[in-house]
Amino acid sequence: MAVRMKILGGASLMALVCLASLPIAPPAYAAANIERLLGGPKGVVKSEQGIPLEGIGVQLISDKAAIRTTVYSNAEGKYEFPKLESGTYTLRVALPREFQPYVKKPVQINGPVNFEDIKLTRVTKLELLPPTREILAQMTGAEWLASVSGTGEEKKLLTQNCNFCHSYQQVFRNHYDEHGWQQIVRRMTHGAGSPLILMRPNGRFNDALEAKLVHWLATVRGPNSEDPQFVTLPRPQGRATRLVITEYELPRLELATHDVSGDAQGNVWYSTHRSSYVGKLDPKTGKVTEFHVPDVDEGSLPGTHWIHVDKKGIVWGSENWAHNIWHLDPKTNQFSRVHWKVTEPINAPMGGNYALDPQGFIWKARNNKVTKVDANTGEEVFSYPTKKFASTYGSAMSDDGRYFGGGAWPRDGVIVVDTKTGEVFEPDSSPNTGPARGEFDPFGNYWAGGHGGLLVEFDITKKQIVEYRIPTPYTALYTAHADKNGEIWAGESHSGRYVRFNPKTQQWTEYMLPEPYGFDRESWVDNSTDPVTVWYTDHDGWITRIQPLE
Amino acid sequence: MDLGKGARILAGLVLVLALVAGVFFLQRAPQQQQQAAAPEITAETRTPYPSAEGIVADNDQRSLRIYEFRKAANSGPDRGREIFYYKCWFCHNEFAGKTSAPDLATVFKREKLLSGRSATEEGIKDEIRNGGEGMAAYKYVLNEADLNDLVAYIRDHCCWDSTSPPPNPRYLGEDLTQ
Repeated sequence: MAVRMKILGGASLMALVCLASLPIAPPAYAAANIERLLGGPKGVVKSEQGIPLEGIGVQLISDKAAIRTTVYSNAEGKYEFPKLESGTYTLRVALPREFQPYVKKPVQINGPVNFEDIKLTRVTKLELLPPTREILAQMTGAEWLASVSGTGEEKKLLTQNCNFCHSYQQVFRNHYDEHGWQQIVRRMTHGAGSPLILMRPNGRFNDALEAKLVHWLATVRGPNSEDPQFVTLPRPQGRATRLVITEYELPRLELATHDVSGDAQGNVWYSTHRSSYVGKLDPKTGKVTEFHVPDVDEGSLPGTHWIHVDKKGIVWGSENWAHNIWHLDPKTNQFSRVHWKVTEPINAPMGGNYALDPQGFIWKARNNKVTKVDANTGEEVFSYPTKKFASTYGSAMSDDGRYFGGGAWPRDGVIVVDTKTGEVFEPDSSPNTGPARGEFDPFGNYWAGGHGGLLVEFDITKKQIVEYRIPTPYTALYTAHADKNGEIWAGESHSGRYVRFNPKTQQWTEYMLPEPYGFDRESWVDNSTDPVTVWYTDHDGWITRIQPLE
Repeated sequence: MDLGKGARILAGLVLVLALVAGVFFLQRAPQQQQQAAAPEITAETRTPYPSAEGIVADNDQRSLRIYEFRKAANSGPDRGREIFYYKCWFCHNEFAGKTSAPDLATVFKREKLLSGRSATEEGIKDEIRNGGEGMAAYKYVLNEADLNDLVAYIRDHCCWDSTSPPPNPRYLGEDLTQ
């Protein structure tokens, strides 16, 4: 099978960065949405010298529900919130970064008030930012990597092997000697899955490379290493400033939140990776209903990985460490559970993720076959053998139930099955692209988020892989979702951005998030709105709604 | 050949070399002594980069709370629990068994730690500061305030319960647990 590899080079990336910044007239259908997402408090952001500042995230936090609403200033420095419930709020600048923090509280909101100008003072007259405690905490992983010393190979060792479980900030905020880094890297790379409970003799990479990574970390984050002066990513401009971001708090900390999925009532369900709870967020009020998943067998770590609400409103979840698939009927609050028949020891991952087809069967790719499974018994119904890739990390079904697709991470490639013809496609992707989770677009193409920082498409017509590298360096994807128009959405794990890609125009839009992460493991695209609304839960524990104005 | 003259030249050269070498080593010796005497940089002695004058940290920036382990509390055992989760739990957890690190729930009841240090507050702090064969030395990253919070948690509240993660103080909705 011919495989076309389309890899965009550095010059093209710069062109794409420029393209992403070009002002583009909003289409006519956007008018109604703009109406819906504007009309609230507004104001202007300026520098101390009175120059309008673009791309500044202005945020209101409600005292009543702690819901955070963020909008971004345009080229004239103007920002405008949607209509908000009357009450008291905190007005602040989210991620002031090169500017000093701006906080005003309480502010009274009662209709479309005009705030006084927000005047921001730079923390330095220089380009690079000093490593103060405020700045250190605001830097994205991409900025850390761009700012610490090291060869491309050394940085690649980190981005290739440490990009899918935690932020890079969690690495770089530390200082250890070489022995210390050795212990930590060993635990991280030899421990199975996310809980790292089971230690394996073979790590993610060989001993020599592991030692090289350890030595580099001990050099740039050793006892005597100084914090770097920071090179920073640009602020959003133009189209990338036209959105509303809403963030919701969850009732507990350290949930290691993983997936979101929406139900027909507009509630957003989330899974927690290392605890017994899953939850349902009511976006209208910010209230969360928690559900305690029944206790797992003694000695097993609880935690739900994949979560999915089916068309009947039944909520499905996978327990990756305890090796179960459960489902919950929200009408009765009753959980049912099927033990998943796998060979892995308890507390090691039982597999990747799962997909439900329109008939309610679960699909997965494991042990050199793509399998259709009876969701209520866990018994195999049918399987398609694979020849090259043993498994996939992600699993997706096309809406019509014809195609199965999944990224073969930690291998580089995808598996796509045409269940109508029985054909199994296993094309390779480029080295270290690491396609993981994804979804089919309305045209039957499979899209995966690549851990290597790119979108990987399997073009169903041409039966070819096409790769699209994200403009921002040092970032990574975990998943990718297609909306009803065929646009692709994905959180950028290490650059504090959420990316939108239009395959027809090859236009990238990178929306800056209010926190320096973007650890999206599985989004949910709500296609009932125009434009679509995108939801994800950050692994650090809150739920984010993204509403583009166009 | 005038051997006497040759010997004088050789002696002169040796003398010059000896003088140069002497000056070189005399110059280096204080540097070496200075290097040897340089204090070890730890989390306690590291000088933080100063913030701009008048800056008041914005604690509503979640990443600042995350960076400084202050999501649950600014200090005390609740903060110690957060440090425990990120710095200790992945090895010292309730599921690890004998293949990993010792369970810390009863550490204060032991006579001694595996390293031989005393199972007292100071002994445990020393263990955390200096690490051991299979454990990193945390003195470069945890300062005295961090250690106080961490040990307060280990002493009175240990250990982590995966079936009941701690409450989020910033969540203001009512308890709707089913």
